[in-house]
Amino acid sequence: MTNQDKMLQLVLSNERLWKEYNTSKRRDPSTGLLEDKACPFEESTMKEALRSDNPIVVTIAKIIEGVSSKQGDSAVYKDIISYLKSNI
Amino acid sequence: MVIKEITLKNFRSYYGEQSIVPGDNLTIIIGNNGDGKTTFYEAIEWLFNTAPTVKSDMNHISQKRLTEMAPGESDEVMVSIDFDHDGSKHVKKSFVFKKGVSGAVSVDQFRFDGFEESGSERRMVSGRDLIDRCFHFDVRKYHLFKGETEINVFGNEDAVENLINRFSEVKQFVPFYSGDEYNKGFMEYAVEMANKNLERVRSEESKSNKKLYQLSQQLKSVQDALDRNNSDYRNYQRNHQSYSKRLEDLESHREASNELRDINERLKNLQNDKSQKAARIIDDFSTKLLDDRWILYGMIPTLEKYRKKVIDFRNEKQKIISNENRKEGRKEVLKEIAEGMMPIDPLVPDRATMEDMIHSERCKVCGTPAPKGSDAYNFMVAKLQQLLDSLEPKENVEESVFPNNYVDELYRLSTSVDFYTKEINELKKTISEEIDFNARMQDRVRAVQEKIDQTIEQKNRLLAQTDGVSESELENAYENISNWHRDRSKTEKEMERLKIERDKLENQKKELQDQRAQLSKNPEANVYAKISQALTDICDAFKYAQEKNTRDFLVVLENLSNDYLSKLNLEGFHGIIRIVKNYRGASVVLTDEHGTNITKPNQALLTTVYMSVLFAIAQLTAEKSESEYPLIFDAPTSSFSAQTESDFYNVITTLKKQCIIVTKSFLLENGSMDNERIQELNCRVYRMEKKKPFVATDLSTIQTALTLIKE
Repeated sequence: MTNQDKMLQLVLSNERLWKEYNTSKRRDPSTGLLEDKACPFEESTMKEALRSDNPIVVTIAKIIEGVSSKQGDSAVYKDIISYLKSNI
Repeated sequence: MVIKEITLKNFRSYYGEQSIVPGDNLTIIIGNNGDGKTTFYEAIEWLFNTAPTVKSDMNHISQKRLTEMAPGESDEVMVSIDFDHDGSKHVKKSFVFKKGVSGAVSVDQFRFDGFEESGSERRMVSGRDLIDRCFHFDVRKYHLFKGETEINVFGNEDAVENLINRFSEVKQFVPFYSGDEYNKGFMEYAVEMANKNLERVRSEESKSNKKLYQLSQQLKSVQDALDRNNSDYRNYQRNHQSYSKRLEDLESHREASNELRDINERLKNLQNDKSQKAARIIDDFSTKLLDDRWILYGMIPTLEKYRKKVIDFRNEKQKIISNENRKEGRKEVLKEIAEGMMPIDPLVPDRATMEDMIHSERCKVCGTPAPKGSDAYNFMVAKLQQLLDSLEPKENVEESVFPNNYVDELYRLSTSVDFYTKEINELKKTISEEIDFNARMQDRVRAVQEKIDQTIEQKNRLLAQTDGVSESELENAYENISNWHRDRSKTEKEMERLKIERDKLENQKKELQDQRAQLSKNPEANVYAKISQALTDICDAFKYAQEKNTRDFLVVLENLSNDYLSKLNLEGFHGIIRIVKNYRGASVVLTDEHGTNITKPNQALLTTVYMSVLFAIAQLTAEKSESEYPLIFDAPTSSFSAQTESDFYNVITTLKKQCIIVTKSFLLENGSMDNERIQELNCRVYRMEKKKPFVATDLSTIQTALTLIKE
């Protein structure tokens, strides 16, 4: 496992990101009502993250990849803004 | 990396070529003050320094060598090291110095050469590259320490970041999030840029925003008016329902209402009748007993008995008095006879006449003069005295049998009873009449009460048949019916008015919403707002990830450090190392097992703590890079006692870690070696000393020699 994979896992382990960007409708067994439940991200490697359906996961992977490869802040920013404009 | 040999040539006091061959574990180099310990350490530092060579390097030239050189002669300053690190390697740093004719010294041919063996070949490489590759600065700075005070690795602010980047589970977080406003990481940059873009887009939309704001304000006021309208409408609706229900109830209970009013009227009359009759009943007989003397009603037999008794008493008294008088008269006569006294003649004048006769000295009985001193005069005086004596109360007179008049008093009272008897008989008649009257009145009140009870029962039956409509509602219904009709009608009008107003407001609201929707069609600001929020959330996630990574690393380092502390401080109290993150990076704190801070620990313990952290870092380095690195210290144990120092070094020997320590320990006060303690050491020992003779004030006479004294 690479340092980028480890960093990705650590960032994606943030529960607030789950609540904001990875919820799914689930039935509450006590009330029987459908409610939004936060779910952990399933992606654990950069490769999986870059191909994810979740735009936040892809954005984080793009940031890790871009900054690690020293593309420069401006280039990485343009890339993720361009991606987010179309996908968020 | 394991150092095999270190060679110094003409490096300051190291005249000529001097070498040591360190062991695989601990190697101690013993030298006194001024013998060249620090020079030896600085020679190694100079070799490992991969920065470009500078002119000040001239200061490293051996003065002894320079002095003995003839003009035009040249030699070199050199420090080299042979080591194993993925094969044998050699690094040599040197420059040539030349003594001019005038004695001036020049330097040139700076070299930093490296050699590495690859199979059977020996290949020359850049010494700088070789050092950076095999013993990089980031590793080196946790392996070379000069003096006891420099071994605290957390002494500088970058220490934690460097350690984390080097040894933590996830490295290089700072380029993503730095937390430093002057040196921002990418995420901080991205959030700032996204916010700027959002502001720009919003600024471009400022005109429409103003209009939007106005529309929003208008919408808000229309909505407020609608809310008020709805609220008012609901209130009127509730009232209307209430009035309607009341009126319906009234219609269905009209008959009951009439009957109730009759009943209540009857009840009122009956209550009045009862009150009037009850008011006539005399119930305060106790007052009449005394005030109207009704109490005498039962006294007639008692009075009769009293009168009879009093008569008996009186008769008895008369009898007693009569007997007593007879006895007393007899006694008086007997006494007068015994005393020869006769009663005063009835013709004797009274006292006043006799006093007048004595005063006028003439007897008015016989009409003859009776001058003072004559017999007649004396006779008159004697008679007056006799009279006066008879009038004086007699001594020893016996008391009367009835000295008080009680019996007479009782008798007088008994005669008045007759007077009262008539009154009491009249009283008897009055009492009888009043009691009869009361009885009749009470009968009448009871009769009225029965009628009241029957009427109340009739009323309760009626109320029970009216399905929960209260008595007051039934009773007052017809009094309020016109008001309720009027109020219901008024409510209907208000509801109609509010409906019209609401329709107008709804139309107004729709128009405003359409206008706003038209202005809000450009979604760019929304997209930028979402991007800005997403990047802010991601930035926070990087921040939290970095903090967690740091926490996890410090826990690992702390645990390892405590393992070493236990090993290095076998006997004494050592506490527990805590590595605490703070605004300056981190600091090492010593606590006991209850978390109490150990303030101001002694220097030896503090040094042991810092060295434990260093050993822990060295172990992490070895684990991460899969290679060991030597630890080189210059005089780290100055504060240790002799025995502690021996124990300490023997423990280090067991750690299977190459460690080179330059120290003045193991020297006696006279400068000679403490051979007994040296023999106890389980490591290689070198002696470093100035060769004698030398002149204390002449640097050119100083020459340090290195000698192996214990294998």
